[in-house]
Amino acid sequence: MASYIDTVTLGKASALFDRVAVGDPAAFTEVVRLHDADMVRLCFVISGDAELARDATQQAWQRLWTRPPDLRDGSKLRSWLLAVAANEARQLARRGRAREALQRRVEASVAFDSQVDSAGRLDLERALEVLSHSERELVALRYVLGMDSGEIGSHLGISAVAARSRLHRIIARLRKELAP
Amino acid sequence: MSHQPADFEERFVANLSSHVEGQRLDRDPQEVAAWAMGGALHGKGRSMRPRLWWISSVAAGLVLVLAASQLLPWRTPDEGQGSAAARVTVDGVVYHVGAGRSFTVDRDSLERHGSARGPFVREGLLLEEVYRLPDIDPAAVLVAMPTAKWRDDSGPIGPYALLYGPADRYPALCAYVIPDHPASPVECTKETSSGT
Repeated sequence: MASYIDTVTLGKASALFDRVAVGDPAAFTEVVRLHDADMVRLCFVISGDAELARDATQQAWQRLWTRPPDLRDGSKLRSWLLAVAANEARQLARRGRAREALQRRVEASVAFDSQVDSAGRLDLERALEVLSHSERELVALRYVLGMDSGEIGSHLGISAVAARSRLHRIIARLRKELAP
Repeated sequence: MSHQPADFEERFVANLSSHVEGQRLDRDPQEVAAWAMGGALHGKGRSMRPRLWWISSVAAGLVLVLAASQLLPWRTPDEGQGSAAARVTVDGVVYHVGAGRSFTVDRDSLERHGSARGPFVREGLLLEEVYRLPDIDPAAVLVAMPTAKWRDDSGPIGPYALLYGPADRYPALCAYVIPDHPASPVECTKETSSGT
């Protein structure tokens, strides 16, 4: 059952979307403030490249502004934004940007060394390599954006049980792939 | 290095979090929103904006270098502040890259023309693909998508970049200009006024 705070939050989100849909710049900026960070993070995990993630997210914002979705429930805007951004990230990653992204990842590896211990870095790089874009999306939704199985299921149009099961399989596969 | 079931997930999540947070992905919402709204933001919100999702206004601007300035029959208000290095090659033809905040472009009407080449592609364009406009000689003007980070003194470039080629048929572009946009070329405004 949704709490009072949830109800108020969803109501505000819905009202905000209504204002965006009629072209309110202030409302649009507020929506950007609320969701941009999560969208970029999601796209980053999917693509593995920060610049590509920013560009993918930007495309999603442009799409919202130029062609807002016909959402019956404005509180679904966050889910719509994440889905569009993730789709853009997948497309950009496939369309000629992968090589550039790989080069930037290599260049960024020095900085990366200072953030994560070398064993951890190896784990993470190997882990991301074995995952598909869709699997990375699932991982990002759960472990970066902090969604629970129910939220992920609702976002992806699957049941919570299915979402939990997919995550379980991904982790199990990673554990097997990365086993010494 | 061991991967015990109990700690594997925790380690993976910890490393993933460190990796993501170390990328400095946070951005200025005002800047992000301004770029997305681009040239479409004028007048009464989006009342002048076309309804199709890829349609939007593109920034005027920064267009071109000295050579281009001699070719252009008219100049947009913010033109001249652009980067002299904003140049690409498409099928061996050199195009000067600029923006047109006063332009509207129907994405559905764009047809893929080819791929842009040159150092500026990586610096300023989101994709290599360039598109031609209906009824516009592709040797005169092509359209591409700029990166979000590309901006001039007037702010973000907007959703589209215009590639100006050697052919001298720029007045045809007036069909794509929003008449009352502040960045609209005077020549296009006059043309619209006299034509009505």
